[in-house]
Amino acid sequence: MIGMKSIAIGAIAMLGATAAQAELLDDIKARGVLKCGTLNFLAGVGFLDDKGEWSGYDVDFCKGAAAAILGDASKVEFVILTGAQMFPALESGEIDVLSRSVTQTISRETTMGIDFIGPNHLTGQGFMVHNELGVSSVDELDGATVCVLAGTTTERYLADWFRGKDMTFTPVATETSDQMFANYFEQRCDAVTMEPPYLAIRRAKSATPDGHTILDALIAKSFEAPVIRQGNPALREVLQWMHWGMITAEEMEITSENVDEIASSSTDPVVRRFLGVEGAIGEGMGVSNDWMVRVIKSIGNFGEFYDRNLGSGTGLDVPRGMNALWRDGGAMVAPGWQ
Amino acid sequence: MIDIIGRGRFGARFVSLTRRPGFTAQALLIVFLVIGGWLAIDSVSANLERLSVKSGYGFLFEEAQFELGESLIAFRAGDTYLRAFAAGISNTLKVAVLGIILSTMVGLVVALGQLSPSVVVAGACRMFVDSVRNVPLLLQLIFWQTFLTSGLPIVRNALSPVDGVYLTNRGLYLPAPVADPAHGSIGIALLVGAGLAALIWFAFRKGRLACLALILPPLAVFLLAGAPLAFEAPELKGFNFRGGVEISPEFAAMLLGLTIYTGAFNAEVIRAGILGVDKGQREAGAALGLTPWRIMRKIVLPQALRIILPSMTNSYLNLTKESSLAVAIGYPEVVRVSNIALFETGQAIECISIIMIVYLSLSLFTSAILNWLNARAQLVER
Amino acid sequence: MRRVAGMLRPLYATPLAAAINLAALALLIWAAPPILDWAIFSAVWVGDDMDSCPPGSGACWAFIHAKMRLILFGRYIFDEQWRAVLATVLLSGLVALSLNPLFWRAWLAAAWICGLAAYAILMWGGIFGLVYIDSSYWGGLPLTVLLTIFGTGFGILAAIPLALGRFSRLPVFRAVATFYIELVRGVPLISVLFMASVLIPVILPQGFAPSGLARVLLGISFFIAAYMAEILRGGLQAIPAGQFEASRALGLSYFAMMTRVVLPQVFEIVLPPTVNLIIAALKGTSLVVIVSMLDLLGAAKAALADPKWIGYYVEAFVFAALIYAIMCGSIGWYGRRVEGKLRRARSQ
Repeated sequence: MIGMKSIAIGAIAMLGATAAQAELLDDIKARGVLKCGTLNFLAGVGFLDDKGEWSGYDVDFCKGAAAAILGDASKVEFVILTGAQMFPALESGEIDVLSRSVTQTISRETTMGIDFIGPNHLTGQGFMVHNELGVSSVDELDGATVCVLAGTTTERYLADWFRGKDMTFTPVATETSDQMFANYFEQRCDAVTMEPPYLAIRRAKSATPDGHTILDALIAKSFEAPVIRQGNPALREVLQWMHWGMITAEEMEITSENVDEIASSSTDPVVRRFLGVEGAIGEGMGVSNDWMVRVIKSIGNFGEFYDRNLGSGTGLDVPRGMNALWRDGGAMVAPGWQ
Repeated sequence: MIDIIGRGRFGARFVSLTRRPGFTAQALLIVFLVIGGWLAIDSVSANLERLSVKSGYGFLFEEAQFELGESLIAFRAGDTYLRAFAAGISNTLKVAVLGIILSTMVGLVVALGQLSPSVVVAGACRMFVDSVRNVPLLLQLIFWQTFLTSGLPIVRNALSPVDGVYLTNRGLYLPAPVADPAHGSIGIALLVGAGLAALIWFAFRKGRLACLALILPPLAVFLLAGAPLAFEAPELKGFNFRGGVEISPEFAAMLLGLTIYTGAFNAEVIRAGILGVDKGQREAGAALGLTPWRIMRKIVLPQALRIILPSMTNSYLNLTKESSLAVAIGYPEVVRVSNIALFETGQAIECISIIMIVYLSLSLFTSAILNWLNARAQLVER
Repeated sequence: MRRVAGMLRPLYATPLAAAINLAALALLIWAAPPILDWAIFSAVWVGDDMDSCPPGSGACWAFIHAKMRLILFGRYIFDEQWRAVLATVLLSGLVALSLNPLFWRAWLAAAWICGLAAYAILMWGGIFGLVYIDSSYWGGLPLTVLLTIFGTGFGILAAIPLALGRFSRLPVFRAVATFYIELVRGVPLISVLFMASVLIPVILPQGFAPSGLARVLLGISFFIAAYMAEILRGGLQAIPAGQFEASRALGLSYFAMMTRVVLPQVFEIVLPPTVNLIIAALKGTSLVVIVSMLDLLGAAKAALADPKWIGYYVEAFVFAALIYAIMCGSIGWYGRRVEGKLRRARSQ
């Protein structure tokens, strides 16, 4: 008993010490594997293929992070988490990175002891309605029954929005998006709320693709971002610049196919610095100099990363929208690599 | 140890305590539990401090930013979490109480069906019990929810067998009495009647008189007030029916699922109880020329009740606890409220402890009632 | 002909029976065609993606066909899934043997030791040239079976001291055991699972958090222990007082009396309710999906997220329900058979 107690005290004391000096980045390198919390129920974002292998947008971010930190995209251990489990798991050290379409909000960032990276997925929350209702604007939804996914921020934003407009609604909250859309298509609900690209996917795959309208106005912004524990500046730098690096690679038209060739042939000093041929940016950050080459080789530049998981390559065909580069009319920008 | 305590009366008592058999083992267990509990609390508080998560139940008085859909106790976004929990608990109670009543009826019918001379009926009941008991309730709930939303007509094509009654996949809408100032006094009269009835029942054991005492006062007040009974029929306004009483498909699915699942277990309990009644009792009844139905009602069932009640207590407790699965189909009961609260506030310990306390109290309350009934059933035996 | 008539006789013995039978038959005829049509005649059996199941066709079994291995095995490494099959069959076989008191001999203990070692080697690997597979990869049906068997197994182990405590004459032991049993039996399993998955990282000092599987298994075992303790108490009460008195007269210690004389008899008495508890545990494991474990139901749910197949949750759930029904049904059947055999063996 006394032994256990002293272990407990030791662990707590150690924790204070480790939090002060040792960086999670060093722990991950020493451990040789990155522990990543994610989800398994969202097409294109995190799911298992026929052979039980992970794929998806959130999953790939962790693979990229493993490539950056450990040099091998396969050195990730995934932990599936529900909405209720995700923050306790991150805070208790069960996972290093939480990449689970977490919406960045001021209350979370300022009260929960966490840091957001990115954000790497910019979306919003909209409505899809049945055409036969003749609804053309979100303001006509007073008194409607709305299908919503339980245990997500969409639920709260929905209530906030209706309250702000002084309108009423009846929610029908379900645990899975399949149940939610089945409810909507059976007209259990007048409207369904989610990110518009997902609404479009379901509409396209439904029995009556012409029978539904996705209303123009978004009721909330939803910027989704990977999350880490506060107090790990080195890890935060690596992951944040990895995200920016993927955008930069798309700007420079460096892809997973041509990255080796460009690294060996380019004479542009910015490109050479970016790919670690010149200078020592990577080593200064605690990773290898060619870290961005490994990231791009494993998950591609931002455009490849997006298209492979959500875009044209998947059958989901979610348009880039705000996630396109700034020069293409989107909102994805990165600081200079100088 | 003993020296410190001294040789007073307390000390003497303590010494005699230490000489009881098993003192060391018991003392060790207490020490072990105290240290273990202290370590756990210590560790939790250290962790919570590190995670900068608020603790305590203060959040219950903060504004809750979500809607529940339906509840007996009215709740809207902007009310407190406390009210949200109360609404959730009221929904749990609603489904549990109705489920207990209906599952008993299903159990009785299926048990009698299994014992029926008709091969088809007995076989069908047997099959029903076997298949229902072998599939997880979670799946059955999802089935009923899907069945109701996809099987029933949409709002604009509502089935209306009688004027004012509408059946749609958003629920069953029924007319409801319009509130009237006299209703309050009728309620009071009902309470008075109930008190009177209980008095008559316990003092004189006159069932019919007690019934009369229960009904007469509210009826008298109702007639004196000029029979203020107007019904408000539900009407299709905008997207949905408004007014009247609404029974949502999620609630119906929950009730159906719980009733059928628990009903199958109850059927087995009741069947065992009926078979447990001595065969001679039945034969004696038949010799007296009673019809099979009267033998069942007057002779077999009252005796079977004694065998059945303890197992039924378990079955009812299970039903109450299993109502927590409603979270999977979106019926807003207490676990769903707690899940949203946990997601919004991050206060895991508080939210989960609330669920546990609620179910624990419900369980204790249910078993107290049934134990009382059980004691009464045994008393009749004399 | 006469025999057929004799067999049919009960069908129309009384007018009421005849009417009820006709009604039941009519219900069957009314309900059967649409169900059969959906499940069989209009169903799509093979296909590569959702285009092979156009809206309006019946059940899309092609989806189950494509996702079969994912639903049955979760994330267990694809080429190594034979190991999970072998290990699960081995474990189930051992349990089947152990449910028959006629086999309670020394060799069964030896078989358990070897069997558990083989199970661990097959599931984890890492030696004999088998690839190492971490427990976070285990899923599907093997995980459901694992949670059921080890949950009940650990539950029984924990239930023995609890039941003895509740049966004990020492007030502190009795109070602690009663408190625990009533506490756990009063709360739903999902609250225990939430507690195990969300609270354990908060309660334990940092760095001590066990894996997700261990946590859920812990929660299930603690839950089952309370129920099993009540079953064992029933068994203890059924042992005639003479057995206890005789043991004491022989000078046996409490420990020897319980392990040598009382408990072996208790376990035989409580076999039927224990089989029921195993069935309840098997169904109960389906709740781990709520704390995002990939058991059979969890894997079926995970299969729904593939963008190639959207919206076939009815098929997935019907498939899972069938598997549960077959497993629970066969356990119940096996339990009744053993009971019958035992009764005959004891009466001889």
